Amino acid sequence: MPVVQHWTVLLPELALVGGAIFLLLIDAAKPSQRGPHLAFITLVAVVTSGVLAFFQWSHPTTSALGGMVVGDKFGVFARFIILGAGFLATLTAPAYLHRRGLDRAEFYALLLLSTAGMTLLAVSSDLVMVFITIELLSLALYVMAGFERGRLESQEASMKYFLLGAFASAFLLYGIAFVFGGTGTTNLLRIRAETSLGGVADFRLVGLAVALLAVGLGFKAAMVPFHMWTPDAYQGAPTPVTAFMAGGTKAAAFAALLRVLVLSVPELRWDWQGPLAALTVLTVVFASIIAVSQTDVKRMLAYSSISHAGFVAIAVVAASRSGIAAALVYLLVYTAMTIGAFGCVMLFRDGDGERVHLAKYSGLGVRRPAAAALFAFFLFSLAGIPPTGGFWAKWYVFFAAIRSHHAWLAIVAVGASVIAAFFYVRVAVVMFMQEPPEGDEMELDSSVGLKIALALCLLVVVAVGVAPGFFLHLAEKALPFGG
Amino acid sequence: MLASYLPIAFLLILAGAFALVSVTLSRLISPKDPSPQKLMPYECGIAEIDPPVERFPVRFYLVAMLFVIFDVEVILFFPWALSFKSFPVFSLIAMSVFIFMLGVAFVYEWRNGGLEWD
Repeated sequence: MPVVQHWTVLLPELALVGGAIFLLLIDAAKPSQRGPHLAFITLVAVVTSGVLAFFQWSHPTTSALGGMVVGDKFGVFARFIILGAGFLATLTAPAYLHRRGLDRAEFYALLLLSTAGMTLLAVSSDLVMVFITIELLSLALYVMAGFERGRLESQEASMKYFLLGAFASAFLLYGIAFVFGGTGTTNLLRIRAETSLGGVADFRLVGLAVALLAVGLGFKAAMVPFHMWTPDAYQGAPTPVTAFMAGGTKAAAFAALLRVLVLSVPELRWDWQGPLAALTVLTVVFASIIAVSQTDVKRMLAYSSISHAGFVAIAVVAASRSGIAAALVYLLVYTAMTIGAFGCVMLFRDGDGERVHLAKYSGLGVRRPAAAALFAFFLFSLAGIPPTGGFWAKWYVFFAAIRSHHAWLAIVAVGASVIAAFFYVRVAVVMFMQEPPEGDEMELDSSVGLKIALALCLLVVVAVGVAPGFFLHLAEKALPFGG
Repeated sequence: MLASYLPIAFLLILAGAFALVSVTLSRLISPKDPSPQKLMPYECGIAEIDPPVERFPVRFYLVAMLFVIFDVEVILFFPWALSFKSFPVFSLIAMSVFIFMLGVAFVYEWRNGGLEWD
């Protein structure tokens, strides 16, 4: 249990917020400026934050802000995934935004603030902090989703995300109130003490609270039935924002879910494991089936991200050390392959629009073999086909489920991933086995940032595919609150 | 513990019942003698000239946001001033950071034309 208090735990977040403030100030110095230097400043802030977080890996567990925030290896691991998502999104954004005349300093400032909210959520050890950081990451994302405000879909994405997000925040806050009513505290470690043997918790209130908290966090993680906003928000938002939301928010939400469910109320696990397992089954099966009928590739990837939330949730249901490690590895691989897939969507263009309709992907394997092969690789990884990182991520999750006597859950999830494989492989079939339509003008986005981002995603997915043990070993060390 | 909420629940039922009963009773026993004048929408005793304005210029929201920024600042200043002597150094640093952040938002809005009406 962390007793040492030190504010340096917050240094990575201070770097991000500092970057955001700097961006706003240089925008104030010269209003409405555009250009690649804005993205560069953002990248510097994210990398600085990553370096500062890295130094915390070897430190003993500390806490800051009177126990509101904890600096542990789990937090460092989760922060790395989130910062990676922020880094990749920043790399892909400049070219996309420039084409639409949106490359303004506000975008990057919001991205940094949202990233700071996500990393703080991953290290929160108090429910009040969980709530504030979820608001911080969401408010920035609502604006970013609607950043292309001339386009109706973007407005729709922002509005739906905002309305349903506000609704989910109310659930979360209600849950926090009940936790306080049932235990007299909002600190996760003290909630754990109060719900353990010798504690004074009112279990009816805490049980209700856990259900409400799971709804609030399940919304951010996009689990069925709290996923209704996801397809519209992911489809309508500018694609770099979609990639960022799909990767970063999910990692942050699951880090919080693991801390709240597995660490602070482990004594109630007989109560929450069943309902969460039911949600998990619903998520993987429902999302996989709906995704089959999608013809818009962005929308299909949105349903894919919902089904992946279900897979991570299996590791949460396992509620064990191996479950936590499996969830971290899964989130790492998932973030890389999902941002990679959305990056490939940004790659294929015609005129000034993206080719999001599935029919427009026909014959891409002939026209642009390298790019199509890259997209196919990410899709195979998302499907969990063996040599890729996506396979090992699923493997560890199923293994954790079986070891914690939830073998049936693993069996259902394997069934769902067979359905899911169909729609992933279908895109590859369309790309490689159909003739390109006559007179179809298509071009590739040739921006350097996007290429570097795709290369980095590929590197992570291949690295986990080749040496999964190394990453699992790191994740096993990354236990919340230092074990 | 929940028993202490009983009066609130009782008041809720009472209020609901009162509303329901009075609306139903007035509908049942009130005299009905409509005329075109009586059925017109009532606005200060004169016939309606224009439909009410539905859209506000977005400038109002900017001013409202500026107001909120300084409103929050003032609200925070009062408890801060009261407890300042208990931990002077820490609270001075904390408030400086807060004012700096607020200042950044203000400078940003000012420089981007948030204070100009046209």
